[in-house]
Amino acid sequence: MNEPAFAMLYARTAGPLCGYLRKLTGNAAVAEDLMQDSYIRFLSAAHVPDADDHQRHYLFRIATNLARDYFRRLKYDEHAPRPVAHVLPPSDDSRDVWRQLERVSPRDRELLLLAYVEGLSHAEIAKVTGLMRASVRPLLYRARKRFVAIVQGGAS
Amino acid sequence: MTMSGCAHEHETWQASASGRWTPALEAHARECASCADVRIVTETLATASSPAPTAMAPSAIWFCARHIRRVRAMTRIELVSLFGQLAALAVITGAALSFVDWPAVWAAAEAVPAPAWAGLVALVTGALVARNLSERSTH
Repeated sequence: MNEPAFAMLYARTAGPLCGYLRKLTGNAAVAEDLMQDSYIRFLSAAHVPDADDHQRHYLFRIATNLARDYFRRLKYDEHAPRPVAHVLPPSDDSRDVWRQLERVSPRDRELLLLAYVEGLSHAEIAKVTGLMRASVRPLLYRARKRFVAIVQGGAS
Repeated sequence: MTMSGCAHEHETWQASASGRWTPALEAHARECASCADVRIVTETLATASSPAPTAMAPSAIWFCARHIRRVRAMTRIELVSLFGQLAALAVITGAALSFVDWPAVWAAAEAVPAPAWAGLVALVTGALVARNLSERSTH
C-alpha cells in the first residue's frame, strides 16, 4: 500500500473506527490512541488486504483486539485510563447512552456496535471478532436483549 | 426463548439508521419483537455523540509505520548477519582445532602438577567474582 492509498483509506475509515473505539472503550483519549495503534499495526502487517471491504474488516479486527487488550489491562492496572462517561457535561444528550453502554459487557458492546452501528453482517462480525460464524447470531441476540432491557430500565 | 430472529431485521436496521421508514415496515417493527429490539438498539446507539478524531495526521501515521517497518527489517538483517558470523566463527574454530596435536596437549596437561591446576581455577574464580562485584557497585 502506498501513501496516497493509505490517505484514502484513512479518510474513509477514521471516523467510523474512532466512533467504534470511543463507544467500545468509553474514553475518547484511549480511543484515539487505539486508533493510531490500529493504523500503525495495519500498515506494519506483512500482508495488507487489497479489497476495500477486507481492509476495513482487518482494521476493525486489529482495533477490536487492541480494545480487548485495553480491557484486560483495566483489570490489573489501576493507573490505566478508565471510561469517562460519568464526567460528560449534564447538557450532553448522550449521557444516558454512555451510561447504558457502560453497563454492557465489552463483548456485547463489540457485537452491538459492529452489527447496529457499522452494519456488518454476521459473517463479517465473525471475521472481525474471531468468533465462529454460527455463534454470532445467538450471542448478538442475547446482547441485544440485555441492552434493550437496560435501555428500558428493566435491568438493574 | 427463540434466537432465530426475523427476516426483516436488516431492513429494520437500515430504516432505523437512515430514518427512512416505509409504512409497512414501521407497522411490522411495532408488531415484531425482534425488529422492535433492533430499532431500539440502533436508535439508542445512534444518539451516542462521537466527536471527529483529532488523532495524528495520516501522513504522520504513515511515516511512523514506515519507521517501524525499517526497524524490523534492520533487526532481521542484524539477526541474519549475527548467525552468519557465528557460523563463520564455528568453521574457523573447527579448522584451527583440527591442526592441534591433541595427544601432545594431553601429555603436557598431565605433566602440570595438581596444585597448579587448583591455583589456576582459584585465580579464574576470583577474577569472575571481582568482576561481578565491580559491576554491581557501578549499578
